[in-house]
Amino acid sequence: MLNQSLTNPSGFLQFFFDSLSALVVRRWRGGVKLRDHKQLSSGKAIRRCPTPAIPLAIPLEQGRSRALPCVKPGERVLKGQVIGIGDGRNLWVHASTSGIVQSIGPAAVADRNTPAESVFIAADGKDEWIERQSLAAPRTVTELARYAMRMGLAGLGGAGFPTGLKLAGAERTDFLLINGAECEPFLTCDDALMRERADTIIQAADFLAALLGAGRTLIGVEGNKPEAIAALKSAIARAGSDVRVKRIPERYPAGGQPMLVRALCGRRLRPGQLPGNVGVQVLNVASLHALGRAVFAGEPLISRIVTLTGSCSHPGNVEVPIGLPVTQLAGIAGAVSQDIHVGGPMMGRALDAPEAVVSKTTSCLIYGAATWLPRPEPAGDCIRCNRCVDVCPMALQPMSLYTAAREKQMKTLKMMNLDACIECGACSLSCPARLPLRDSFRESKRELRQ
Amino acid sequence: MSLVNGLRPGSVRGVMAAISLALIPGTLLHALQFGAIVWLQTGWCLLLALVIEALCLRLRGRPITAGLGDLSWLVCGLLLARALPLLVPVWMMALAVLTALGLAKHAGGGLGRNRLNPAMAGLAVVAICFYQFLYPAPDPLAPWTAALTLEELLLLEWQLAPRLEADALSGATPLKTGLLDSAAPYLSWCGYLAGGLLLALIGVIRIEIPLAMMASSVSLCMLSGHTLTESLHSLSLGGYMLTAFFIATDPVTSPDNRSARILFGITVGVVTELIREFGLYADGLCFAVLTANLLVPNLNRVGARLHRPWYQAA
Repeated sequence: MLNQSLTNPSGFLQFFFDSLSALVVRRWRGGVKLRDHKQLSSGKAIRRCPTPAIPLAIPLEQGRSRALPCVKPGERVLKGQVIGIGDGRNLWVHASTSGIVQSIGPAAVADRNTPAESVFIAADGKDEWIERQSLAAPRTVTELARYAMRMGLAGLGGAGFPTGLKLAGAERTDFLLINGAECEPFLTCDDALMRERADTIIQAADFLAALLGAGRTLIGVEGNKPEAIAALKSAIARAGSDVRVKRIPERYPAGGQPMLVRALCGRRLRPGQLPGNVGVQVLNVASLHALGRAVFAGEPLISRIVTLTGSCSHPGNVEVPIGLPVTQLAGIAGAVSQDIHVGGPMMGRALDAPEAVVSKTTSCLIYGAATWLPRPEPAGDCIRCNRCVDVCPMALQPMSLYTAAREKQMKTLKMMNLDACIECGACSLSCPARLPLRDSFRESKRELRQ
Repeated sequence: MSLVNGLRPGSVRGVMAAISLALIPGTLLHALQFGAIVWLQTGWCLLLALVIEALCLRLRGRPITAGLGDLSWLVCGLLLARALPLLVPVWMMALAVLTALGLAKHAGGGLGRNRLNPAMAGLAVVAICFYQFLYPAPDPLAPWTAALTLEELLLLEWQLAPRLEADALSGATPLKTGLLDSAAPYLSWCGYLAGGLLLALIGVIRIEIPLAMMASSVSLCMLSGHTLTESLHSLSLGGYMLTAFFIATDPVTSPDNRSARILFGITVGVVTELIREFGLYADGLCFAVLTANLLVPNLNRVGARLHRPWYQAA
């Protein structure tokens, strides 16, 4: 890779610029400084969640991916056993504990609007592992992509996009970027992971970079996580790796893909472009950790770290098996409040079904949401204060877009680049008139796509 | 609990309350110089603004408590009270408030949709139709209004007593009367400057507008042959600081991007200076602001052309 790029003059220039880019953190305009409330749940070690003998509902659907069930009611399954079969585009699903399959049907999922087709398993409390297959480590990106699909690896940062699909689309990769920004307030699950499991993360990063042929691997971490940065740096030193940790400014949405790509490697990701188009691969730290576990230990993705925070007596991070009802977590957190917000305050939503289960993308539960989050207020009149314009990380004009969206002027919306909106919600949050800017953009974008 | 860090008020009501609070130091200094009439006029204007705003909301079929709750009438009333000449009759204040809230704001589409600054539209109507009430203005060097009793003031405001013929300033513009040579004739400008800077600091107003406005005024004043001291001094005259920090910065009637806002400030400053130098009016600020208000859509278009998203390669 290095030799190749050094043979011709333009390649040498590119190499020079890339090296320079890897050293500095570039600026992007917009964003909001938020009260992060991370001290509530950080600072304590990750706890393991016991799997009691209760029914679990493991969703077969994750985002747009949908697996076909391959177990029948009455069948006994072991931890890690395949219960849903995927294909090139759909993730495989595994049992997160041992028990008897009860039924297959829809179940409410904490961070999903609609119920998802799920496998209900009556856990036996023994948590018995299936014999782990010692598969040969994937040797090409295509192999790895297929392997990631088989291991049920979904992106753990938010959208839950299959890691395998992301890797399958990889072309020439100059930079492998690891997203450890965790710019959402309250969340500390990635922070905890980086502090405690930095070795696996670095090992996985080196493995993936070698496979992709990425010249440089950069981890972006917001400056409010000094312990995580230190842990990563010492893990890098131990492994003798050439991964670099970059401290990025604390500003929401620093973890947004275009912002992260800009800040870490200086490349500009235009609306509609994928990171692959500009020679970059972006992976969340937790997704990378899961990839590492899958490759090195043969473990499918059957658990995730969930931040329990807000009004509870034992806030912190807990490793939860997928499919566990959120009611089980109230006991661990020491929370009595029924008013729960799922996910971060910016991208998450209120929990409306109390019996909902944890999915691969359930990152956080905030108990006592009314006391911690801004109260929803009726929308007033826009006073054209321009704050939405100032905070928009994609340099859009939310104020004018909102007027056009309300009047359904599709042509104007297209002209004003609504497609570039990353739905981060910075505009809605900073609007003094409390206009539902993000919601209206979401709807208009859907209408535009049709 | 708000998630956003910082002192910036998070609601429209908070923004309006902050502006009203920031107006207090200037009004206080003004009252110190010109007497109880300032408070009296403020009281009348606020009362009229409240009544007329409620009436307009009622006529438009809008919820009255919610409409009054945003406190925009408070800001408008306070600004008009200070912008109108002292000792105008109450019916004229009513006319100004009616023009401001009824015509400029509510007939223009309601809060956030008006093209013209309401307070300046109200003042402009009075200034054009009742020119004689603007002059002679009370001389800041010998403010005779301060000596009047409350009873005398009320009689004057209701036009029950004959109008005072004071031998104060003539209608000539201050730049021509040599007013610039004396030490700070008005006190209130320091108050408005302080209040305005505070607002800029907490992010309620955009500092580029007053800065561009003052810079253009001063440079034009110097071009017309005045010294730097005189030019700077002219910024303390009349309602300059009030207009620069509280009226031209009205977000509704000012442009949407920074470059356009700078052009907007320059327009206000230049027109003000032209009126002060060559015009009939001593102050001319309200006409300057209204002119710039009308140019806002054009300025926005010019500004948008200069602005390029960060993700587009240079």
